[in-house]
Amino acid sequence: MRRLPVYLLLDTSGSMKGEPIEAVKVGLASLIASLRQDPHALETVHLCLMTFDRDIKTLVPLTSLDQFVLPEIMAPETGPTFTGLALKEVCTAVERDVIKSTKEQKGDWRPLLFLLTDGGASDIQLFNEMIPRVKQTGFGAVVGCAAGPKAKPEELKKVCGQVVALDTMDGHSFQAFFKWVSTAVSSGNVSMGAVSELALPSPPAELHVVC
Amino acid sequence: MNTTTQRTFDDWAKAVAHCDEKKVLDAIRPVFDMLEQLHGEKKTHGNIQPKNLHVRGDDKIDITSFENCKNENIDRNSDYAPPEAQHDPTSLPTAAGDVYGLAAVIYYAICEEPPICASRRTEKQSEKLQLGVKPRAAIAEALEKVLSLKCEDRPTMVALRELLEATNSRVVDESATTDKHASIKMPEANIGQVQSGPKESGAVAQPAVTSSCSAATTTPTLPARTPAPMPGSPSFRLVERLPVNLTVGKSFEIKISDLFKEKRGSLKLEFLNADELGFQHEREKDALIGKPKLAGEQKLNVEVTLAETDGRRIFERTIGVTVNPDPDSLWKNLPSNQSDPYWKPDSDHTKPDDEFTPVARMLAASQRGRSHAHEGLFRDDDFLVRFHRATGWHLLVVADGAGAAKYSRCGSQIACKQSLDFIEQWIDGNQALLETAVRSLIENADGTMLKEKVAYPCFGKAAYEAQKAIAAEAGVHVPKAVMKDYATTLLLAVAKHTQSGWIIAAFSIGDGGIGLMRNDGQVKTLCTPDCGEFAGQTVFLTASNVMRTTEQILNRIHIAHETDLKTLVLMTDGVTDPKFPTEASLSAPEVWKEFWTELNTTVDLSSDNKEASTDLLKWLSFRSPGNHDDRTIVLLLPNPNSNPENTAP
Repeated sequence: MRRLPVYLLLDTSGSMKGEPIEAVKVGLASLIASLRQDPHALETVHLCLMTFDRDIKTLVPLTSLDQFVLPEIMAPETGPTFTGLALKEVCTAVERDVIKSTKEQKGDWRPLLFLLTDGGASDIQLFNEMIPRVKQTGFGAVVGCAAGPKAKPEELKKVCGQVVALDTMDGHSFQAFFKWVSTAVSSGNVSMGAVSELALPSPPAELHVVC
Repeated sequence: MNTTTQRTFDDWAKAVAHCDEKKVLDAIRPVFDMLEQLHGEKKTHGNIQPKNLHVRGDDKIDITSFENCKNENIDRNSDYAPPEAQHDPTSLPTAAGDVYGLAAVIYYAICEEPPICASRRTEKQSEKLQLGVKPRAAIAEALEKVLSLKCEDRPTMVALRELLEATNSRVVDESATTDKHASIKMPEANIGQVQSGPKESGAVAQPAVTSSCSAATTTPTLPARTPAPMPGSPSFRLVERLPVNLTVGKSFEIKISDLFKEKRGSLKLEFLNADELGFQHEREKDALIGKPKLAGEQKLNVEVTLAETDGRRIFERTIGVTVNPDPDSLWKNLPSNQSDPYWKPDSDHTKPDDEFTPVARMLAASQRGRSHAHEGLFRDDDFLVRFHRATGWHLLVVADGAGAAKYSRCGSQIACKQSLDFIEQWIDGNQALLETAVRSLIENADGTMLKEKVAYPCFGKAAYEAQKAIAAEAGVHVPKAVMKDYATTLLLAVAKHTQSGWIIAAFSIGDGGIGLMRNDGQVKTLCTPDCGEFAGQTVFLTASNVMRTTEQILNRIHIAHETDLKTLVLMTDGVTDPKFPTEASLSAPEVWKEFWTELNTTVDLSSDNKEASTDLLKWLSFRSPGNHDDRTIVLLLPNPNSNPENTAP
């Protein structure tokens, strides 16, 4: 069966500790719950959840939506934000996990990547090296979420086809973001493949589209 | 850093070793060696934290990665930093600081949380270490000493090792002499009694190990510990959640033994709300079975009864259950917006008046996909069949408008109509050429002329005319639209019956499929699907690069001469994806056989059945998980009683 692989890459660096990470957890739970109300998503969506701070962790490898179990997510103390390394890991995971079409096998849908971060990359050199690699990986959409005042939307713009910004890192904002992710993933089910990049639904008022 | 082959100590501890003292000490052992050596050389590590430790596949810490984390700049805010580093920002790493860090890491692994940060302990000296899970007395005692706030009270690395190794050997000895299955973990039953079980009596404190350290006033005091279970007494730990997620209405079976993390001795399980959830305890299979009734996050209430020599003890536990809704129950069927200028019916099929020709029947049906119906979106597919009576050519076409293109429902419609309009005209004006080419194929078994002199100009121009018509439509659309908004595939075939059998020419741009089946079961593909490396990627008639060269156009043309034709089929990808999932399967006779058997047994395709296209339309709603696109199929069914002499030119 053709899967729609969805990669969620979440910043868990020290600044996310406390309310932001709690809000992200609530947002993720509602993302899963609302996707489970979409019959097409239930049959096709596969999720991979990765976090990054000074380490990159695959908290849940690519797993079908119906079998997905939300893991515990922890933000450590202060430390660097290895966004570049995280992108490298996610590209490696896509190359390893996502099935491509051949004469004998039907490929998956193009994978989607959602990257949420509240700061700039600490490993700028690697981050820059990853820009062309992310483009080559064949994502149907790469969406960046710049959360809070310290995020760097212009940096995200280099790897993400679309970047949205959250003014605050509270529950309300993250809820709006994840709800939008859910709509975007659902629309990916209906209309993937026809155009080079998935046309995303317009985001709610809490999210500013960064041009 | 290799993040794939190794786990961080953090992950490892969570997954494998939390509370398992022996495993933790076994894993840490290589670190002792390394630190003893470092300290012997009057060097320090300075940055001992769970995240800097990586555990190999054999459950031992990888020293090389750890050594690389040495740091002269101590992370002073870490829960693992010694108090002296936290208080004095200028202090340098010390061996005693490493001892503190390592003890804190061990504490973390055993208790599932780091010890209370040293800085907070000095601020509120009375605050005790709060242990999530209580370690055994000997370990607790040892760690208590080592986590002393006064660095001079801490043992050396060598002494710390001895201290811990001593407790470790005691752990092993105890379990070896009692019950080989006895775990050194605290069984849930013993912890559980704090909440719901009767008070354990006769708690005997474990003797403390001797230590060279004297207790300082700031040494945290551990709260009273629950003793290890009595040898042989039953104990258990249940899983927090079922090992798999369930789906409403879908049978499942989970072994009762899979509900335990740990189980010792004789105990009995009762599922208190099994009926409500649609579960049953199948005692013969010793399994939890059923068909879940309720979607969402549920709690399975379990009553565990331990049979003991001095009576029974009953515990109530809950196990989390995630139940997915049945996807079929979620589909909505919302009508599309009829006031839209490009509206067309959500389904369509041929009518008997247009189906019958003197030699065959053309059946077609097109159904809006579930994914579009769910959102009240339009059917983007289209089809058209015509019969060119003067020459006996059957003209068949299907088109699949791209889901992401906003006006593709119109694009597919224009593509079908415009291409057939043009082909009809072309046939009108080129009858002699057409006949010569057909004769050449029949007499010389050479289709080159038909392909290059007929199909190439005819189909190439037909596709071009369709492109032009779409461009014109986009040009007059308000608001402004572009060709891409009308993106559509185009699969067409023309077929004519002669005395020598059927002559067929086909042309395609995009995915979907054209194929024929012979009465003997042999099949022939009349297309080369344009598939990308990912699902759903294809090319469209509206793209500027699909017909740039003669060769590109010729590659899209397929010619066949069939003396034993059973059927010619044109399908959009809504049908080929579920029925011919790979490019290879489109030319596999066994796949076609299965397809035909299903179609032929569900739909009465005989010429007597005037409702055949309606039945075909109904069939198009077959269930196939994950395949809910618009579906369109066109069939050419030769009439077995037809007399070719009557219709041949």
